[in-house]
Amino acid sequence: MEPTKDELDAFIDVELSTADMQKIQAVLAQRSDLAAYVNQQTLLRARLSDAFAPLMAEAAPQRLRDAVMSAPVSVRYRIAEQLRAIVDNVRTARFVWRSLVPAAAALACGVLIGVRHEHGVQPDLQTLSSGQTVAEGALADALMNQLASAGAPASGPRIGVSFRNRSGEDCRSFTVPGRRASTAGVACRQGADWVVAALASAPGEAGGAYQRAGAEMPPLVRNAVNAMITGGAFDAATERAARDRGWKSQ
Amino acid sequence: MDASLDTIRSQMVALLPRLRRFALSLTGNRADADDLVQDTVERALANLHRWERGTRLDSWMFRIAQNLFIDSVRARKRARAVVSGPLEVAEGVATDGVRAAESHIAFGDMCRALGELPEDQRSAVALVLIDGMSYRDAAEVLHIPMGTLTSRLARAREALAVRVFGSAKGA
Repeated sequence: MEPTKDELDAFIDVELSTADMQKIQAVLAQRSDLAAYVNQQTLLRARLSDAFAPLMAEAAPQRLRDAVMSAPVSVRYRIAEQLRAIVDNVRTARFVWRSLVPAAAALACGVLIGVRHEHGVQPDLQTLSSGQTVAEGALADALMNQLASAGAPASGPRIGVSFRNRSGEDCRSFTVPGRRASTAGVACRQGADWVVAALASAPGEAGGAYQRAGAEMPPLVRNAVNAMITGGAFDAATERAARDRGWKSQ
Repeated sequence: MDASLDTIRSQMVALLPRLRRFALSLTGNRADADDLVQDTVERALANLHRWERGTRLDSWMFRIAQNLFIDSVRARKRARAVVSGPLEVAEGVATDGVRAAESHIAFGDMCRALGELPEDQRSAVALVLIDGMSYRDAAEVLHIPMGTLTSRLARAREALAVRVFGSAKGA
């Protein structure tokens, strides 16, 4: 059976099944004219490949590697990725969402998460018309004045870690203990407000699972802190200095 | 949070040599090739939400490069510039010694031969004969049926054989 030119090309490009490759190989052994075509085209492929081989061995120019590492990434992709990560966390930690919309809005603003828990414990929080949730009352007071390095108070909101976020704002993780469920989150100082960037529920104190503020941060909050933090958590002296200047970062 | 973005960036860095080779075989000169790769990377990152997770990043980026190249060819055609015909081969790809000179000649010959092909055949050659993609993957990158790809390849093969070897063996 005479192979067509298409079949010979497919043979050269290794696009045939093993059985068909063998059949054509057998024909080529008998047909020097077809073998001459295959040999020439095989050599052409090798020449093409060789011509570009030195380029393949070169390191790519720095400007191209810089473009890969620092060219702007689709905002829609970033938001989708962050939502995906949050949803994964929520699934893992069995947190329940009230709404994804505030989270998307928060993400677009460069803040991370806005989650409410479903246990009915309402810490001192208020949602502004801008969609931002800010701390009030005892929680705002603790964020403003409490030093984690001074030890946890016997009752009321507790502060965990303090740190600087990528926007240069001072942020603090907190826990508001409740009997059935506690609320944990992260808030960042923006102007005169403590804007809540992440909020999640944690087992209540009556459940016995919740031990100490900061030590058992819900995964959602811990992930939020890890995603936001730059330069590590404040040590006792840095925390005190930040408090003394009213959490106004330079 | 950005773990998957970091992974994508690493994959893109690893893809750079293949993208450069593809771009060079399309444009025929290194400066334009690297500009094309840079535009491709920037376009890919800016449109990353359009990339379907789980599909091949390389095919998607080759398609972006191909589209950008065709756009630039059309723009130059509109500007009445010379678009096909022999490409400039101002720079070789190796820099020293006899082997470098040889590869320079081989590279220059190949670029001139590729430059004489119509752009659609050049892309088919670049993907299948130079990059080693399968017919299916190359057809997907070029958004054409496989039959169209193989007929473009067949015409390109014959023209390249004449250009490189002086005559084409018949089948």
